[in-house]
Amino acid sequence: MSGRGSRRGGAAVLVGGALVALVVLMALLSFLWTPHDPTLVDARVRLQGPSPAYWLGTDRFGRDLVSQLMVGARTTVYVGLVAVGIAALVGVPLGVLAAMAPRWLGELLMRANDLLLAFPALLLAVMLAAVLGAGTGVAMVAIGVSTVPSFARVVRAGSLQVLRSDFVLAARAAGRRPWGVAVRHVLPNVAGLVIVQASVAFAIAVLAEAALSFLGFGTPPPTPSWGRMLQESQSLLFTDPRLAVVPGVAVAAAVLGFNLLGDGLRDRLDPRLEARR
Amino acid sequence: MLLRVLTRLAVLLASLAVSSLVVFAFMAVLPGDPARVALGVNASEAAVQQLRSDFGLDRPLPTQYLEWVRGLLTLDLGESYISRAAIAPQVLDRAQVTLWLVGAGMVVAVLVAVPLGSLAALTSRSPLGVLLSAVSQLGVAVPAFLAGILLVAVFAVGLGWLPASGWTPPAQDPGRFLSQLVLPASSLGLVQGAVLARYVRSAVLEVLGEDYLRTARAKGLRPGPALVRHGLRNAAVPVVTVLGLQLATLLVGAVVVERVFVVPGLGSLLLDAVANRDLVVIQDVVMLLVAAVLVINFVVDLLYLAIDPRLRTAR
Amino acid sequence: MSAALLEVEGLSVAAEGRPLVGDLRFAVRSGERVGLIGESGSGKSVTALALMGLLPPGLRAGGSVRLAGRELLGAPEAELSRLRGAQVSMVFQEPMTALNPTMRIGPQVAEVLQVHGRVPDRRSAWQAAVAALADVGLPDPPALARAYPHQLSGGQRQRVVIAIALAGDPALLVCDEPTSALDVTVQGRVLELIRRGLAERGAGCLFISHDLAVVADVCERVLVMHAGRVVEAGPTRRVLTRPQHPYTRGLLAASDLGRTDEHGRLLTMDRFLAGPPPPLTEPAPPWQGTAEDGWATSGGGS
Repeated sequence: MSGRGSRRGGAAVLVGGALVALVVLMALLSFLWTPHDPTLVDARVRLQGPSPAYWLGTDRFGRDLVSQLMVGARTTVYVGLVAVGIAALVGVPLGVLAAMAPRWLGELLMRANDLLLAFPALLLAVMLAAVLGAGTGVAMVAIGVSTVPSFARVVRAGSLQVLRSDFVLAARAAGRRPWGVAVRHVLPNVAGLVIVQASVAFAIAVLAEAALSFLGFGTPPPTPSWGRMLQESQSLLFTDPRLAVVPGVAVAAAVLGFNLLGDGLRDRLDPRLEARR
Repeated sequence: MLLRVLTRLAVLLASLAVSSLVVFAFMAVLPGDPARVALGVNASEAAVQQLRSDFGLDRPLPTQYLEWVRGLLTLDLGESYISRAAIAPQVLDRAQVTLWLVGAGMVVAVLVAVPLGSLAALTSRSPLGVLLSAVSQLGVAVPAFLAGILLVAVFAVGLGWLPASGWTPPAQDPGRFLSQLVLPASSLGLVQGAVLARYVRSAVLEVLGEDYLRTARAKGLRPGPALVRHGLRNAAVPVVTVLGLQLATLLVGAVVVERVFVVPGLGSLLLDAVANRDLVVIQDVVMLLVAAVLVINFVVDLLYLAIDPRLRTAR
Repeated sequence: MSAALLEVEGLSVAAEGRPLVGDLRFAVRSGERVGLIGESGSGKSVTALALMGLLPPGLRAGGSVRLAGRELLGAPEAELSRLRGAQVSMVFQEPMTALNPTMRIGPQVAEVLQVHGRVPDRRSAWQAAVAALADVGLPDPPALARAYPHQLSGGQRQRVVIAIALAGDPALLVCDEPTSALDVTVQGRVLELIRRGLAERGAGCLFISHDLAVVADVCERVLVMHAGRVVEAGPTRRVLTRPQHPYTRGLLAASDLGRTDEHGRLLTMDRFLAGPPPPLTEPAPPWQGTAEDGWATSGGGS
């Protein structure tokens, strides 16, 4: 049965990894080459269907959808990387600290962490945008901060498990200081959990970024983003649903990719765990 | 039991206090003068000063904070900097709309998730189970507003069965109310249902391996009835946690979906306030949503006690 | 010799092609108590679940299991459900997990009667459940019926499990290590309870245990199981006093905790076995029940 489980995990890693790689490659390629200038407005080619010149057609300003999609992938990956980076940099030390600190302090940290759960990315973004104005930075910080609790929780649970193991007890008995234990034993053993969580958090970040730029709190125009492509498509839904389907599929594929990758890696790490979160 | 409830209540009150401080500090401490923000860069210094004294923005911050909290507790949410209209009636009006939307979304989510997840667990070793898992995996990847756009494309634009947008209060025209509720509630509920179905599946799978389910089968119950009578309640404990967290997600998701379907709920109020730089309204609505999330989590904790009798005597 | 209540012939259980139990053959008559002994991992519990048709997913049974002449293996689920709890019941090893933690005791007992339509309505189901709880010697049955499992001790819970198993007046009771999870002080009373319940109903019993003393106490006949096979069988007293198979001798010696070898070391099983057990994929070793032992099944002729 374990063989079956790891095979299934393998398939998830493969499909998820391929989708993620596709998004990342699109983003990287967009730095070097896109079929057209994604921001070039050309009234002569408004709302064209797919053709050899415009593979997925154009929007109501005559901008090429493929090029917008590629540069939009860049925005998605960029926002995701920074947001997940913020979440991991804050959440991982928080989780380790909460596990190693005295009981009361650990409890207090986790209560504070739970409190942060009450501030979803959207509300943080709204508050930030109201005071500072919308922008890529606001989106990244809002998504990053709102993803901290999930990292802290996972890392705390993993660290508590490591701290109970014999080799940590031995290290402590040998007189190693708490800092040494954290760096030498705890961090390397929760690294796998962090990678899985990062993949899942990336999926959440992609969703949040799309929602924020849909509402206009994300990357400002004219830089293309998938969320704003969706927002612009809405007024033309009756005439040209293609404009919604193209970025919609991109968002769904990216989220699916990161989710599958995370689930698959989790199964690989611990075949006993069913896919549950 | 009582001690547990009181402890949770204390945690709730402390969380509310801390989060109100956070929201207030966010708006007060961040760079930018609210009065200046509200009136725009071209406003005269005199007009800005007038607004500051009108709304008490020239008082010390602790006083402002306490005034604001007192207002929240007495449902006096102050007046908008922009329109100078009282905020409370507007918020209550909008909150009703959002509650309808979220409630209906939750119903859709549960109606989708419980049968789908249970079936996926019962058939986990067959092609049907794999297919069901794949479908829910795909559903998780679709954001609610995208589901909304796609549902509109199919059912409003393509088939013309349902209106694409708008809102009618239920008291005014129940039929119209329902027809306009279906699509936004479904776009919220289908996506959350897909997420929930995965938890239902793993909870049911876990319960299927329990000894008491085998006991039930040994009594002569067939697999389906055994699961319904003995399994679902036990599987409900982890699922209710997720349900509670999801209710919070739904509340926030509603903000976006209201924008898609032009529904005049709290989300529209909030987004309009952001567009108008109406900081008091933003502060009030954000605090209301955060408080709602915290209260939901508190209620979820109490629900545990109702579902699992073992927890009642613990601690 | 009365007709066999339970006839097992060539029963095998495999997990994804890997055999766990091979070519099992025995019979239980009405009113008879038959022991099945062996170490943990020897396939006893899997055998019990195979008889009930409750093997966990992934395990498959082959051969033949007949209850009162009716073939159970491969029978449709609806038919098996009608038999379970009414014709054949089971007492499980772990009383801490065998009861539903979110359901009161009374309804859990009443359920078996309701499922098989033995009671006309809820009220009489409740009364029957309280009576069943009184029958297994639980104190204050009406109050206990309203309790949740976690409020009971392990011994009390096992009495509830026995009450559930006996409530449907089954012809055959399968007991899987019913006292292994209990305190030694409670074990004797629970065994007495099972014995009395069987006697009152004239029911047969397959009693699975690793504890030779318990089996000697309860069973008239005994099968010794080792690595998925029955290696020895016969009247309890004969098997336990004059064991034929080296494995049985080893079990007996191991159960005699104080016994040491000539060097003063504690005895271990491998001293009694010439080598590892034969794999289940090979044909069964020559031992078969003999008519003299009362072990031949109907297929063997007696």
